Amino acid sequence: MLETLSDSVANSLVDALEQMAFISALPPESPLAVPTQALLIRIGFRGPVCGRIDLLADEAVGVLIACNVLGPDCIDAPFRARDALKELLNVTCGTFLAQYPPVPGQAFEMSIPEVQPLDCVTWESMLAQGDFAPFDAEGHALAIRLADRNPS
Amino acid sequence: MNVIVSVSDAKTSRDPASVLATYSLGSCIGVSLYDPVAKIGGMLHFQLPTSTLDAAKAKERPLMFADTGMECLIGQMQSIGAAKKHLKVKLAGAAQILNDNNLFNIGRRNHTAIRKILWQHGLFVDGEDIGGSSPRTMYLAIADGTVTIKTQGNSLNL
Amino acid sequence: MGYRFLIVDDSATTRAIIRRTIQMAQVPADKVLEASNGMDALRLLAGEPIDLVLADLHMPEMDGVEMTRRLLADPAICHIPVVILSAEPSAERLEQLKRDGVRGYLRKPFTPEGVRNLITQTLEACHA
Repeated sequence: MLETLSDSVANSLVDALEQMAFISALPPESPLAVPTQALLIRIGFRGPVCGRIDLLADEAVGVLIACNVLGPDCIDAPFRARDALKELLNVTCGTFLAQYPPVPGQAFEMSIPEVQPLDCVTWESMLAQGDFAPFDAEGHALAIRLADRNPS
Repeated sequence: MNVIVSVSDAKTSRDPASVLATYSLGSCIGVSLYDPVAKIGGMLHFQLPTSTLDAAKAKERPLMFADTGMECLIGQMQSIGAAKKHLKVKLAGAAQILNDNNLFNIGRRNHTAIRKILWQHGLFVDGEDIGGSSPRTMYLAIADGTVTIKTQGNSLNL
Repeated sequence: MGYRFLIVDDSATTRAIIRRTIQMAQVPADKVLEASNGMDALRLLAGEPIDLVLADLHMPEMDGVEMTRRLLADPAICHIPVVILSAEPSAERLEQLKRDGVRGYLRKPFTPEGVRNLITQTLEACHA
């Protein structure tokens, strides 16, 4: 069951990247390299089940999203990168939770996504936990997992 | 009179008697552009999402790729009098063909790539028949801009 | 005379996507204002005539549900149509908002064509 849900989170991320940012994400051909600007973005949810989704991302993915949606001449894309990644996770979480069978009177509540920089040691140790689905987003590293899932 | 658009090819026309047609759209995408004011149409049949996959090939055959192919097609249409702001865009193809043995679903990547290019050109998709696993044929009638898709005996107007 | 839009979303990226979609749709637009939460949106609505509000639901300070509730309860602005563009997973909650007076909704991730259709249909219905 958990494996299926993890797949579902990963598929929701791929759908969100394609639809909102025109980016194709593929399973990486080799292990993800540690990015220069590594970020951890988190969103929590409460409802019929509770949990959290963690997204590890190269900040360059956020720049790519901003460039794609705002146009290649967008000069402030680097400043919009973190906002773009937070919105990516917000949309991913909504897509994922919409697949749960509805429970009357028990709608999901999603938190506002939070972003924090990561050093390379933390990036590598988190990825080594093995529950992240890694992706190559047009040359940039991205990984997602469903964490702390519990019945409410 | 049918004007055939081959694989990795593009054609334009302002002849109201002509119909642009492209066959064997599997994971490839057929892009139909039509200016209803000038009654000018164009069609591209591209195979791959981006010219960055093979820059040398893109120079030799720009119509093979979504990005370089669209630059050529839009340029050709403007050169014979079409206006970008009038263009109606229709897409067909991006199937995941069985026995294609393609792990990375090139059809889906092609669809994502063409949507990005259209967005960057400020163009909406006005109709599409995308995905599935069957090959398609796409027709564009220059007289009125009707786009028809044929798949395994079925016919659909976009 | 063009329309005046108000985009309410805490994501600057999404506000930029919606703004560009309005431009691409060739809808006559006099003004496109932005707010990053419901509270700022209500402040703008108090001082500016607006023809259509495009609002997210999940926002800090004041969310879209509360903003919509206050807008619909205020006789000075309750006539302004509101559409929701949100990652909200609950279809039941979105349908309830429609019953309460919201004109339509679109789930994120949306397509540019979906946003265009929602805008044009809502404006046509309001000015029929």
